[in-house]
Amino acid sequence: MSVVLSGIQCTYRIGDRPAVSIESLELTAGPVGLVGVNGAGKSTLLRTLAGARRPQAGSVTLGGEELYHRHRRTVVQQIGYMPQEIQFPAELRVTQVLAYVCWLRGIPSRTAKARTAGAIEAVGLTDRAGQLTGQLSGGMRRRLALAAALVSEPRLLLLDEPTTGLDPEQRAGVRAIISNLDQECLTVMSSHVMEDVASVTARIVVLHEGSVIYHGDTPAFVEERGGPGRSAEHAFLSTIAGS
Amino acid sequence: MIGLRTEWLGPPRVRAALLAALVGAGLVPVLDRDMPWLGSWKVALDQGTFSITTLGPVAAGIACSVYVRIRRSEVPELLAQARRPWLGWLAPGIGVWGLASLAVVLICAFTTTVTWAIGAHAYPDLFWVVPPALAVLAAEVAIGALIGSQVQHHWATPWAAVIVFMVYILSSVGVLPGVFRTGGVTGTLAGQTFHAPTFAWQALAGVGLAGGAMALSRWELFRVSGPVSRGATGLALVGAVVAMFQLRGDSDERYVFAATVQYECREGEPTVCMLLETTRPLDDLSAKMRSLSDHLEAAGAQLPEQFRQRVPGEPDPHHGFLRMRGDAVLAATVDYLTAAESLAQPAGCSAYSSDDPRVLPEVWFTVDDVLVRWLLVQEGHETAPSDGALADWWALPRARQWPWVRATYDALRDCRLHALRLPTSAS
Repeated sequence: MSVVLSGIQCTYRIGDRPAVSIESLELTAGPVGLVGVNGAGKSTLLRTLAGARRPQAGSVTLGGEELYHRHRRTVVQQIGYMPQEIQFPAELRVTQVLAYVCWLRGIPSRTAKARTAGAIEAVGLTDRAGQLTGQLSGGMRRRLALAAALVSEPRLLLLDEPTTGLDPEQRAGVRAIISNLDQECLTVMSSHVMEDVASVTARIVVLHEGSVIYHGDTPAFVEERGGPGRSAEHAFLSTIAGS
Repeated sequence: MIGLRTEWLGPPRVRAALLAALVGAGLVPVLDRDMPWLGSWKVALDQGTFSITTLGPVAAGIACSVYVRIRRSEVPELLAQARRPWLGWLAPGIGVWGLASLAVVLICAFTTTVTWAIGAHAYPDLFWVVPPALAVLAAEVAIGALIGSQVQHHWATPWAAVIVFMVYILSSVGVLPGVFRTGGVTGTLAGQTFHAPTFAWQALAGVGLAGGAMALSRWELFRVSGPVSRGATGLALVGAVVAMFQLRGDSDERYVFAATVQYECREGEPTVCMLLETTRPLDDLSAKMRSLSDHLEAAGAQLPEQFRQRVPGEPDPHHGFLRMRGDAVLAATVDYLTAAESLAQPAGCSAYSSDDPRVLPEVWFTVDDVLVRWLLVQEGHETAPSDGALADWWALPRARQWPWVRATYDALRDCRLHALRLPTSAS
């Protein structure tokens, strides 16, 4: 799966500076980190890639098909999206949430059960499958949101701040899940925690004030811009400062 | 398969509580005012749909709350990747509407079953009036969903209920087209039926408004929905505009006279017949009329063979006609005054329903009053007046009153109303 953005302009209010303005960007299969300070436009870009926010200008193609085409049903079926603050009804059990998501995604009931079980296993929630979502910890809820994104077996997986608000152990758990994903899947993970991004992604996109100011290999990014300590955070900060 | 998605309505106990709340709200107008609907299955059905008056605003409030919750959950972000995003957005609203519809159906089943159980004739083929009412309910739920999805705060919930109730009020008084009027008939519906075209327009308007409100509640999803969804919603909206034009002002007559009427009778002297819809007080009425008629027969008056409940606007000079107000028609029992007034009208003369007031001589009113009172005095339910212009006549022995009673009754039976005379002590 490859994604090509061309001439993208996303503006929330007429006259405002665009939240996202990307002349050209191509992303190919594998894990990609999307980093930027708060308000850089990461969530807007992910929502645009998820088909949830039509840009004012430009085009987004997934595997050569236009995402915002009127007959986009086939294209969007290939996307899995984990929003930043998703809240499923607290009174639903984990399996019920995923059954609901399967219904939304149009997954036939005969395969939904297997898909649900697979997603639950992938995120390590097997022993919590019967638990009410309202009783899950913050980390568990993140895993559930990730399972909801995975249940459709997407070829483009979009994760908006999947490790935010988690303790170090939970972050490590989520990172491990992302690392184990199919490499044929294009996974775009946004974060402002450089350590998380650097540990699981092969490529990185730095977004600043809505524009791409860096796009390249993550190890090279850290190597070239990380200073004497090869710090991912230093690389990020120096990139932002130099833009 | 759409299915009833209830994920956003809470766990089973919450859904049960919501259903109970909806039924409770719907029963408020139904159980009000001495429940006259007990006297007619048709009125009971109409009253069942009237429950939407209060149930609809509650359902709108629930829908508002549900869509506030959905919008704040970020789950709508997932709808962009859904196979049928529009259906995914509609599903919670359909769930609320389904629950509210179940409450309406339960209330209609309750009112009609109770009415049938106490002896009213049932007209199950008239249940077709329920689906148009449910279409109106869908529009009310959609208004709640629209408010919730736009305001995105839980304080909007009571406002959604108030706004929907105000829409009903404005629709009922004619400020808005009569789309939101459901049930609430104040008559007996005896000899009447529901006016199908009005209900069809109402259903069309309800569906169209529901579709329009839901489309506005999440326009970006509606815009990318399938051509069938968009086409159907567009057509329904056009239909709603036409329907609202049809239902404007006074052109939304909901009830019409039935093509044929049927009677149920209690044989005897006289035989008393009431329209099949409203036979609740028939046994009591016929017993009381029979008791009173003994005095007329003693006076030598010739009673008609049959007294019938009147079909409005249709004179019937061959039968006596029952003079009953709406509440008496629907009540379990009648008072002796009603029985006496009915007995004092041995023919349904055309003069009684004439638009020309001169057709009915003025003396008729006094004669009628004296005859009714005479019957009640004979039965011991009234005392004879001891003063006034007719005091001397009232003081006469019963046998000397009979000639006037007989002559008067014969004139009334033959519709010779200009032959009526007041009694004198010389009579």
